[in-house]
Amino acid sequence: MLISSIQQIISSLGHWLIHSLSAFFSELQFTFCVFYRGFLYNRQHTQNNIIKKVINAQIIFSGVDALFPTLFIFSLLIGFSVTAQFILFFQSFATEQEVITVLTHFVVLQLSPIITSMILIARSGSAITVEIGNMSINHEIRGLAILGIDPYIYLAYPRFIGLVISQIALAIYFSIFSMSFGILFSALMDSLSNVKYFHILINSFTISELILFIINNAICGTAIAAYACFFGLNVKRSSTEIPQATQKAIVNSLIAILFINTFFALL
Amino acid sequence: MPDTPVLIHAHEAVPVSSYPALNCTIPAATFVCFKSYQLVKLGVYLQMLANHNLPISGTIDYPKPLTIAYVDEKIQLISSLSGLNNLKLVAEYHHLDTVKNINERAKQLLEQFNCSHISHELPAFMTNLEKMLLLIARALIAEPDILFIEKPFHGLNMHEHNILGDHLISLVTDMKLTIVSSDTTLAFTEKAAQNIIYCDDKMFYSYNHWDYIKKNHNEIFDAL
Repeated sequence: MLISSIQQIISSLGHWLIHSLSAFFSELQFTFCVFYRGFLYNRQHTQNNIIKKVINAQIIFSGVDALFPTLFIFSLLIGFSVTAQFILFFQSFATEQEVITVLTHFVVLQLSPIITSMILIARSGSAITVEIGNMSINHEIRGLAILGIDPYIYLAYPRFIGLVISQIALAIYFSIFSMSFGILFSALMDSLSNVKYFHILINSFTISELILFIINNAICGTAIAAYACFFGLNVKRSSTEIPQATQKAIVNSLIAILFINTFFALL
Repeated sequence: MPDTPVLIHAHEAVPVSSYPALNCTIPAATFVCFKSYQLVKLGVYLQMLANHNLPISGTIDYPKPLTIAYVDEKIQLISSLSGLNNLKLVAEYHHLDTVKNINERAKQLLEQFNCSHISHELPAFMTNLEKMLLLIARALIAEPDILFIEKPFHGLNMHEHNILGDHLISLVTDMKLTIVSSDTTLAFTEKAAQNIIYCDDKMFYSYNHWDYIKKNHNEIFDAL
């Protein structure tokens, strides 16, 4: 009895693992396929007005529109609740340089990709899945294919590029805002001399940290776009598939973002 | 029409198992209507002739390279693009011409189909007729040799039906385009079709005059 229960549990775990790995590799293959076809198309046609238009629209929606008020409010609150409290608490027993080093590692390198990704997943990832899912149900994607237009190139590739650029830009804005607000709040709550942290902050980044920051955010942006487009394009017949696809895209993106950030934290 | 070049030859072509084999020729600059009695779905034949599906047996020959356009009642315009941008999409994607020329050609097509007023409208704000006209215009921007339209009058009222019918006829007579259509109304088939390919669910018959259909296949009228 006990042995058969253990066997069942192991079997279920095995099935889950096989299913998860197969889904992960399908999404990975999809991502490479989109980039490969996109790069090939870009190389063949240097004047890509149509792709540029979609990329610009995606950057405006994901990168610019998300700035105010969403990202601004998030960075204001994180600046007050994390950065300022951190400075006020740690400055009594650590040097100024140590305070800023810990802060940059925590807020800029760890927190900003996660918070920015969450904003992108909530605003853009879900919207992309719903948009592409609706296009699929309305036979718009079939219409594109009949016209010889590759949905991977026209729909997915510009969204990938748009989300990568938006994620990097938003993470930079978030880092600047949350650190600046935090230092200002700490100056207002404690002593105006705390504005000295601005000067230390500017000199506290190394080139390798900045490169890792860009790579981390680029991969996060790619993951969000990949899950959003993948699940959107997998909607086939019924409108009831759209909320299911959106939910899967959001959950998978969140898990992927946490894995990616854990990996970069270990580096 | 002995001098008319043939665009497509179908020899015993079967698209789906248990469906009858198709033998026909599609001459250039003609209006070809497919009609069926009851069961056979003609769309699969049109998709086969348009090279979207391969026949499971028999062959489809294209004596010369063709640019093929295909429209059916399910295909929709891109909902996030305006009428004009929907038209330009194909040409811009494939870089068929300069941006300026594509823009002019798209505007010309909009004028030709009396759709200039919806050039900046999204498809959600268009009537069924306007959507169908734009779908046809979008298919024509690549200057195809042949246009396949499945159920062109789907969802149209009689007035819209007549307007679309006149546009389709003028494409054949004025622009010398070949149109292959399925499931058109009897009245339109009688008025427009130069070739009628009729399927009685067992085999296909090809006629070049409506009177032959009337004479040999009364069941088509019974079905009404």
